[in-house]
Amino acid sequence: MRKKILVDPVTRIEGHLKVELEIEDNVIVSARSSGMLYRGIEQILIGHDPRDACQITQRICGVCPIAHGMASSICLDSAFGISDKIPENAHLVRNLIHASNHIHNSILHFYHLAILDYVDVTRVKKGVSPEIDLVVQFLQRDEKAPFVPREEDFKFPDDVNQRMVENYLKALEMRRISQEALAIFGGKMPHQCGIIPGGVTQKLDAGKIENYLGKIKEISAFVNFYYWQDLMDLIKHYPDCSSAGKGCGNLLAYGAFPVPANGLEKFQPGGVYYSSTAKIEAFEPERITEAIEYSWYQGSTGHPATNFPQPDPFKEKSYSWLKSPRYQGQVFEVGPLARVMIAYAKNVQPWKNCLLEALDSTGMKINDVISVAGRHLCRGIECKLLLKEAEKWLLKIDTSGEFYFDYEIPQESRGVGLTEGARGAVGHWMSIKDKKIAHYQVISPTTWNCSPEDDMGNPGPLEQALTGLRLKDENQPVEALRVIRSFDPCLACSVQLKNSNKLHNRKFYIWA
Amino acid sequence: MGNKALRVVWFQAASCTGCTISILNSSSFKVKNLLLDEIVPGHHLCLLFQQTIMAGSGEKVLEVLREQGTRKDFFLVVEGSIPTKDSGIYGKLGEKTMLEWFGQLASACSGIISLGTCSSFGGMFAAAPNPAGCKSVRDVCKTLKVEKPIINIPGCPPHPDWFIGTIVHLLNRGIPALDDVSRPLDFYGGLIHENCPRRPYFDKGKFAYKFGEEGCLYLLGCKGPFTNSDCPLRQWNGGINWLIKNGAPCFGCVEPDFPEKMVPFFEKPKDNKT
Repeated sequence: MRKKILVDPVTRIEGHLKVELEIEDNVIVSARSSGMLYRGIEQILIGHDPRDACQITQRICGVCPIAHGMASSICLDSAFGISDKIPENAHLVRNLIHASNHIHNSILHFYHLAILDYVDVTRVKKGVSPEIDLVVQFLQRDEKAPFVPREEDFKFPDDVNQRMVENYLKALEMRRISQEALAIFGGKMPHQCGIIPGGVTQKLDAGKIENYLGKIKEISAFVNFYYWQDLMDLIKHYPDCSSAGKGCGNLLAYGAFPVPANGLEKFQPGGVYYSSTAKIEAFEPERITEAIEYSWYQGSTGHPATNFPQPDPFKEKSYSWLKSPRYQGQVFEVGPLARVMIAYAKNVQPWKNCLLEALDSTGMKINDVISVAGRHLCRGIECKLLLKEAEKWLLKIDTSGEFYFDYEIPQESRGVGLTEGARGAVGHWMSIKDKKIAHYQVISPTTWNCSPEDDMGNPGPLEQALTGLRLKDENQPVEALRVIRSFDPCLACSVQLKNSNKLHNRKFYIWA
Repeated sequence: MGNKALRVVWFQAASCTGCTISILNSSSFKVKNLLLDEIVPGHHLCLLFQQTIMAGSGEKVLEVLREQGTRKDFFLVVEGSIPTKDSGIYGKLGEKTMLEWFGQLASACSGIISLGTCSSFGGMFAAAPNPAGCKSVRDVCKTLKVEKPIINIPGCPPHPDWFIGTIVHLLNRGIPALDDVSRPLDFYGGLIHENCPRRPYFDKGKFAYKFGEEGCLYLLGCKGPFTNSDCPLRQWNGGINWLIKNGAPCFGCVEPDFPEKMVPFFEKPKDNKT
């Protein structure tokens, strides 16, 4: 018998996500992913001074504001005609700000967003460490929020479980320190002020370099030892995760982190990868389109450089505020998994060796990487390699050199800014008229990953990844939640709304 | 345990989760102590509902929200503004609009902390043309005729000390002294300009004309002369930096007219402001 399961809200993600699952004999036969909030930042940007975009678009998301700060500044650099004039020092500092945000996000995602699907906070023994004693004391409370209520399917042995609870708490500090490292160059976090069109706001001195280096070292020690160990244990004790949540198998990255002295080359390469044929292609931005068949917008499918669909919460058939970005009309997953696999397929180091070593220690095969476990693994690989690379970028900075290139705002122009947020490919497209913003479109990573069905009838990557998944207990679909969270959804970028008529006509089985 | 709980529902509406991340960045008062320990002797915080960190999902956690609607012993923390256009259809949670949830929670709670500028004054998403009809907590309460004590902790994002410091004061001595827009005077009691380390440049008339130059940042858009917060003294992210120290202008993010009257961000403020 078919029935519907509604998971709303999906917690421990950014923003407001609803997932509707249709199941038959405990197997998911179809899935619908919906964002539940529209704020309209692209509409708000129209008419603004173009430079405001690098502050306003950061407010799209407080978890990954850097993704938008970077994309908008690259977009403005190109609109102002100064992309090739950005000083090498500015690229380095932008890379450091950008890398810190990825590092923060990897730690936040693994320990604070994902791990409670696997770790039992209530199973700890007193007298092991001050952190665990705090937990033991907490567990004597009548109300154990925010750790209870929860879904329960825990498989770690006691000692591993306890270490992970302890690391959940240690990771709170590590994530904070990575935000502090960012603030050394960004002024504050969230919503930093360091990245601006033309470069960065501030020259550096030896003191700032020493501050950043110290923080990177402290985080590295934690990441290379505990984070890596916990990641390996998760893959070992939850073997199902290496086969669950495969999805569309097409991977896309724009590339990020320009390597100084050569603005064209990037530390993280872009590319287009088809896992079914193991074919890798060069990425061409003109091939992106956004469909709105099942999204609450009026307009047509088109390229973000010119297309500007208007919100319509009453549109029939629609079930999401997210649009459906497609590449050459096909469904693509973006994110750390896509980036690492593309670098691997292109034989780019240090990515390839790091992935091969990780596969060796986990016993995973390359074909297992597109999975829940693979998404966690690639996020960890990124965190490790960026920490290492950040130190190199830092020491290349010439404190006596230039950090900013001044410019005039053109009367009319167009810009495009493509980079990688922690959660995947992010693109900004704009046009300027009379020195003001006349057009602005953003495609965020989660718009790719959690997009609804498109005009060709193809469901989005998350919807595909959920389909075919077996649930042990439909009353607590923890397997589905693990798949959803492996994508690290960030809904703030644009979220969906439900058609009100449909809402009243349907009956939902709501899981309890 | 003989320990009293300050029961808190943290409701996220039209937000970016930046307020949550900022509070998680707290450096003097550690987050592990906020979650697990006493805040002041005999009092702890019980975070009943907080979507970014809570363990459960779906119906299980909606039930927590519904249950609070029937009891009065909780404090409501609101992050983000409330979408109100077309009866709030632009923001939903568990098949109900955020506006409906907010109405129920606000009527039941013992008091409200509006965390962040969106919640306090409308903020970024209420900027023209305000596509989702976003409103501040105070404005929505007025429309719904809900009368509750409201403390505003604005900032885009708010500093973690401003929030946790206010909680400590609440538990220790009750509602703190507030200014005319309901901000605690301890944190928002002075102009940035008065405590700015670049103030001597302003007084001497030495201004920076492009980024990276020595001088006061007024001509590059600094809104410090009419922005009230202790950023210059407290600084950000464990005291490691803040905007003006980083060579960027203050954007005036704690003020009721952020962002509308603070843009263009990188232009000298309009004369009527000073």
